[in-house]
Amino acid sequence: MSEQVNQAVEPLATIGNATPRIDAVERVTGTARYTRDQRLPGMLYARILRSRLPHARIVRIDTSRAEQLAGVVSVITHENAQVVWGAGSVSGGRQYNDPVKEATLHRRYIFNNPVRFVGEPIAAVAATDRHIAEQALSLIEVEYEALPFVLDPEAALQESAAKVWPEGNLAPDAGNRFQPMVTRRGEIDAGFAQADRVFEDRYSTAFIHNAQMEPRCALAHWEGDRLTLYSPTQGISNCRHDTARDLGLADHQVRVVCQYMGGGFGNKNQNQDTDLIAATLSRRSSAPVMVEYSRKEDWVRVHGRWPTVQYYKIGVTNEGTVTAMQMNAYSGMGPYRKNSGGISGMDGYACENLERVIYPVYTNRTVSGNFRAPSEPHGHFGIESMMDEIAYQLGLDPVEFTLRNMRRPTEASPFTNYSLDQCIARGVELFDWPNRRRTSPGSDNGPLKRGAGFSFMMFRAGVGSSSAIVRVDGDQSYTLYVGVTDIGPGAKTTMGMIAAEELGVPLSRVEVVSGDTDRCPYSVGESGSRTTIMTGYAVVEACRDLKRQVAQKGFPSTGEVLIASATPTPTTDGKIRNCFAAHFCEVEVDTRLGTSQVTKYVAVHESGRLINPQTARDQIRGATIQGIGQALHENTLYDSNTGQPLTSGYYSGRLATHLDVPDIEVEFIEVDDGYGPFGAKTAGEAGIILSPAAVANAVSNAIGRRMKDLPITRNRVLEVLS
Amino acid sequence: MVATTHDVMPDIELYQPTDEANALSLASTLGEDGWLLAGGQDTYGWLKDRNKSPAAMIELTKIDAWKGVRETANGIEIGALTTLTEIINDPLIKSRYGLLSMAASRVASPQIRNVGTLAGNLAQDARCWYYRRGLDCYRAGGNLCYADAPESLNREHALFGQSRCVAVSPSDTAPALVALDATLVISSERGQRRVAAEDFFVGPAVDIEHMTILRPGEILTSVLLPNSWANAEFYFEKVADRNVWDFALVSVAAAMKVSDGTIQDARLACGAVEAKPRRLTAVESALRGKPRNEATANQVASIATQGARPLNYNHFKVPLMENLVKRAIRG
Amino acid sequence: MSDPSEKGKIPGPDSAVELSRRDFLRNTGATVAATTVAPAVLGAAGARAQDAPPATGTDIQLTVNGVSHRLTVQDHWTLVELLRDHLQLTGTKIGCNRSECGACTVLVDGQPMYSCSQLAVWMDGRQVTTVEGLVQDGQLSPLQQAFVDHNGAQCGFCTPGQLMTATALLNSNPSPDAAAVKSALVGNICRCSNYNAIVEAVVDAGRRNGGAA
Repeated sequence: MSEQVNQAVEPLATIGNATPRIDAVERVTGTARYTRDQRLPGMLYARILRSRLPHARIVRIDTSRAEQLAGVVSVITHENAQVVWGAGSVSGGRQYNDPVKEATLHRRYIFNNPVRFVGEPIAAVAATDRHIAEQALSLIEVEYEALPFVLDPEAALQESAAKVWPEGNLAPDAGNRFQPMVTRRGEIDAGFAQADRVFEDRYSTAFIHNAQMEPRCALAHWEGDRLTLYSPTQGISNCRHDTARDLGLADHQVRVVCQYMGGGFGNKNQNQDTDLIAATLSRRSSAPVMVEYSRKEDWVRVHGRWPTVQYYKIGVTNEGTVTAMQMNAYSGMGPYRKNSGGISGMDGYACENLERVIYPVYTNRTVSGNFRAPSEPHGHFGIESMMDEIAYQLGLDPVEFTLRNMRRPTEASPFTNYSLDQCIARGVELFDWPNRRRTSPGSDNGPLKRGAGFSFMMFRAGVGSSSAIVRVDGDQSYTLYVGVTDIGPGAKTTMGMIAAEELGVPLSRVEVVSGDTDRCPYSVGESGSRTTIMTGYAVVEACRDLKRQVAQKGFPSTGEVLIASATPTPTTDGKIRNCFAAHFCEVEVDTRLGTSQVTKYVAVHESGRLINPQTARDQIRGATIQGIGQALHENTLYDSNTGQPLTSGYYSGRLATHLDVPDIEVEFIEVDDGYGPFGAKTAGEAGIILSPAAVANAVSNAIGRRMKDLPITRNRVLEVLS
Repeated sequence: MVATTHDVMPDIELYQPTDEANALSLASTLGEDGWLLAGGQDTYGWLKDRNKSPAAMIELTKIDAWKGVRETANGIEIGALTTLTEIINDPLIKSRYGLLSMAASRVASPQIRNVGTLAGNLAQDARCWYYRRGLDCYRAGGNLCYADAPESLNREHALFGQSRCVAVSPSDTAPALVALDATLVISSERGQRRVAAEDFFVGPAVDIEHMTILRPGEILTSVLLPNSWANAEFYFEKVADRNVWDFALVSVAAAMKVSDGTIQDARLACGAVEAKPRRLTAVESALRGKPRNEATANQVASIATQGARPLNYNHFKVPLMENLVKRAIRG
Repeated sequence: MSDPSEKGKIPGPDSAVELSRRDFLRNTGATVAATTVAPAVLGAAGARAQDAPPATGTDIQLTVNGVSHRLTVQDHWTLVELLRDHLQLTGTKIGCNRSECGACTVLVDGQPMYSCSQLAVWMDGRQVTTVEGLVQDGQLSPLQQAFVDHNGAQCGFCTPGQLMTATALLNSNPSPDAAAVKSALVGNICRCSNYNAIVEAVVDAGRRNGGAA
């Protein structure tokens, strides 16, 4: 269906100009107040005692000595504080569904007994300073009855495995049924029958911690029955609703404030147990309470990308047409179902015969949850590695193999636009793919070997509902109220730019009020790459309404205001709306030392029209680099004998540094498909989806050995070469 | 105790002596209860995690006599409290003993080198992740090695000299000092003793709870580099996961005296393959009288890994070590 | 170590900036003299290991962002605690508290250091510069301006540390190239992985310094 034209974009006044963020000065002067920077009179500091065992029943807990310590105000445990953390465990990982949260079989409380992973909260102490709070922790006596534990998701499904929950280790779906996630279409057996060759392989990926720079914290403060929560959250509205529900309050009784947040990457679009523990301690102490996590606590307690094991079986013809695709996979969820456990990537192929079975599995490790493009990077690594290998086995260029097999719009499933061919073609040219790729993998002579890898994607960029309010004053200054928090990508500025464009005024005339549920209407939260398209569209509609009012009534006179709001529910007229990208990576592998160094990286993206090209570019660069870290370094290792996490923290987490990362060359193909605010699509998650696959394919192309497990650390390189 | 929640410094008595006599007297009086504190970069983690709980700390950074670089009749003397940044920038060390500058420049990160001292880098404790996690292993006074059970994760651990404990020497400067034939000066109230750098470090067969011969009451106060190895041909390379912070998976330090292309004498040591820097004496013997070139490197390097006993997950260290030694010889 | 009667002067988390104005300042020599009364002090230390807080105070004088402070600090306070909790300078962030990330980097006598891993008592007589000290006469420094222009901060949590390390670099090397910037800033993690933009900002700040064209 080539009729889906990629409309070139018309230049606009504000949108499309690289624009420094409107709160950049606060961020470079230390005046931006993050949650831990908040101070309230009389506030207490809280610390949390955590399980040192991976699975245990608490037989006895005695807090009396801690309570007697001078300066300790309150101590809570599972015995005296039973608060459900609804977002902490949801059947099927359905985070945006209150009925499912209510009906969830395996509920999580702020303190659980038994405890099911090292680091699970056991007690919390509020005291006049943090030194006293920490001292009090060591005075709490806990008697454990150790229970058998299981860490590996595949092993956890065996009959003999230790049970994390009484019903077993397959996490239930939204209906509390113990079933894997299954997708079937076409005729899988017929597809394999058509194949000339069938390839099978196993790929695995590691638990990757979000590792946002700001460790988790929350400051709670009650005034009567009204709770104010300062919390580093990606979604103030969702956090408020979740917290109100968990504490038995109405939404309006909770105010959530988050003006600045030190990164999230999917870590926190709902409320956290931190919020509930702070609120509970604050109420009992009759004082504001700040809960702070150490970095190690944050690492073992706050969720990260689920580890996976993926078994593929792919049928192809000798000419290189895929006839059948099958995957059986396991996602390690930890002991609670925080999110889906999804593994995506196969949907990028047109093959009609597909079977995908994913088992979300409970284990006694830290809880898995959303990390920037929750289901994508590990899945794309698996399927793109598989397809890359097949292409070389068939003697084909992986790019040609992709062009032959990738999904395209059809009559039955039209797209709003389709630019993947252009993304790939432009990347091939910019990267000089034919010359950098080794047609015979591993063919470089000598110990330093280069190779190139490629990957592609299409990723949701739909539209949806949020709200916005805009006001014009007598002096013709504008104020925009949006429930966003700028967690890094620049949402506050983006919203301001969209308003300025629609209102036809300079950005400097628009003040943006955000990050406070008492002042701002509902927004979806900075997750799922939705803010620009969903809240941005509400901004457009609210501004249109305001313009209509001004056209009717004229500008308000001094002392008067005009106010408009919008909660639109836009549609894409039944069409699929995606963003598109192709990544190209070159690595040099030192086969003597096992070092893999990225020497060139080209990322070509189509994210619709760019609102702010500067922040869009840095979303792609930053996310791509995070994905390179996932490919080469990051892992959270657990000791199978003790169940202890061994690499919790920045040092052993091996996060990429200034000297570990390449310059990422980003090029955008700009398109206006007529949907979303001025044709904008998503960018925030797109960059991370492709880099693990592109890097892994490049390493394999360089050394001539398929790297099937992430991260590709030097020991793995040296081992496959020896 | 495997805690994850402790994060503030505990309240520990702090002594800040400003002269040598006071410091040595305090060290003697406090004995095992006195934790020697220099740059603190291997102190705060232990104490904040509550995995070590000394009764008192003796801060040594105010003692100027143990800082700085001085020329002596036999070479140079480096105060052990000199920071790593000062060592990297010192013109005397750079011009004559560049091996130490190179090694020091690969330690941790710039901010750590700005405060971390030579003494601290040499005397730092094992980095085994089981030990640092606070498990009750042999090194922590228990009767188990968590890193050497059948499914233990031990990619960073020892190839040589395992004796119940399989931790490795993490120091970057230690192999450099062994290669430079340095002498370490250890002071106490009873006087001074001098030991070869090589003998300063001990493996678990000798002392499973300590990585050096320092005894309670003793302070490492200076390092002597001899004229005999000044201006030799030097090579240092450290392989770690990232280009900063990470401890070596394997490092190599080499000093060679070469005339007319022939190696007259050589000293080589590897870090992170044993609980102490591993001096490669057999390689040294094999090198004497040979040309310093690729052929010699290829011929001799495999001697370095003879006797290696890899664990489950550190087999890769064998080729890595061999390749590093090869590069050191070839130059 | 210190006179117990002075304990009341130890500032709490909410105390004002001006903490302890005393004309008497105990220098480190005096501290040593006190500590060498070993047996009695040791007994106290042993007892304190189990019992409640403490509070050994030490008087120090330090200059923070050009302002001289005399105050009594507890021996177990880190520099970042002193800055954030007692001097209300919350621009400096705690990312790991273990010398593993660089968010807390400040300049001590011009050198970048991790303030989470420095004791407050060590700051006696020293000059500390934090991110709040970069603005001069109400003007952003050229480096700060370059961070604004190049989107050097994404979430902004590592930014104060990146800025302080980069400030020290520009003081010693006014127009660094990208390689020099990466080497100097390598001890500062950015999890947004905004490394490319940070390097571009620092290089451009160098150009604004009148360095390379």
